Amino acid sequence: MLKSKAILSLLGLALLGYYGAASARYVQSDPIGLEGGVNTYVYVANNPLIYVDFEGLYKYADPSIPLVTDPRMNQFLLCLDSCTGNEQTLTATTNGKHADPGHASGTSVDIRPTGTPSKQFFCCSGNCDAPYVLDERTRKTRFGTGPHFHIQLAPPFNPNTNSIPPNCRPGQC
Amino acid sequence: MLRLRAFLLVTLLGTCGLAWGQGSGRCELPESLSVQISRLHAGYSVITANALRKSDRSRYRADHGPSCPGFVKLDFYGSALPTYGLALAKREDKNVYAKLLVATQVEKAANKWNVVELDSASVTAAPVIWAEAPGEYKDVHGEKVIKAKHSVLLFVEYESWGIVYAWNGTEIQKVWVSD
Repeated sequence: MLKSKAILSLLGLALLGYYGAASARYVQSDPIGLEGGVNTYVYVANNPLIYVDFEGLYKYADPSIPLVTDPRMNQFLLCLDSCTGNEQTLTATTNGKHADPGHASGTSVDIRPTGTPSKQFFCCSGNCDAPYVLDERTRKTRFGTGPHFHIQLAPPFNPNTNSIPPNCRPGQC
Repeated sequence: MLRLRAFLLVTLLGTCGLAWGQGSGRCELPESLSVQISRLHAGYSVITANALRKSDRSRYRADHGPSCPGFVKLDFYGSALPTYGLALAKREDKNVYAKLLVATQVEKAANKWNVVELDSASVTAAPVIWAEAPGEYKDVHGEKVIKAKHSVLLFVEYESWGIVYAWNGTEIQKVWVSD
């Protein structure tokens, strides 16, 4: 009896498209489809067993951008999506060319500033436990380098350039 | 006569279209420099507009028009010698590697170039370069400042990082204007 119930449950999941009996794992791709990038399994870092992105559907600006590998960063991005009510777009994650060790270690990301008012973005970042956000929308040279927000979870931080308001504490979202 | 005019017009438009479509017309280096770069940096090639991501290409075109994203003439050392900044890239499997060089023609008659490698890195997408005026450039995190007396070189991966390189008379300084 129990065995038949288990079979029926698996059959139900298979009919819903969530479970692949052959691979014995969840196989559904990102419900936002190709809007989230060419690889619709990117939302779980190509491995459905590592991350479950049920709430937020943050996306990558380009398929060439390395996937978020740090669990704390993944948690932050899911929280940010939920807090802002917008799907955030990552323009950089890990990159050997980045100056701060945060990018190399996966604890820094760059986000395209679209869809969310900046004040809300900065406050939500603080609410979601990011200690440091750098506003990189203004041009530092004659020509722009591409406006973005730089999020950093690991030190060093410069308090003079941090855009997170002091009243935006973790867990207040 | 009319046929001849039409033929000439079609030929002219066709030639222009080909040069623009290739996207590398502005990336043609002096031949002697091209030979030296090929010998010293085998496998790498100058970054052309076609090598950029679509969004990066649009951004570059909007700011710099039809210039070459991997090749720029500038007065980096404050000398009268012809000097160029070069951004090279090569792809190996899914990885892209980039180099930033400065080349100065030291002997015009012999076409000899002094080529200095300023930086090299694994990158996500092909970066771009351009020249900026002398002046003050501040680190994006607010600590370091350099005061450049000559033209500076920008090395940029759009929406990710950007570095200014400057010659201060004794050494090359760099500062991150985007991170």
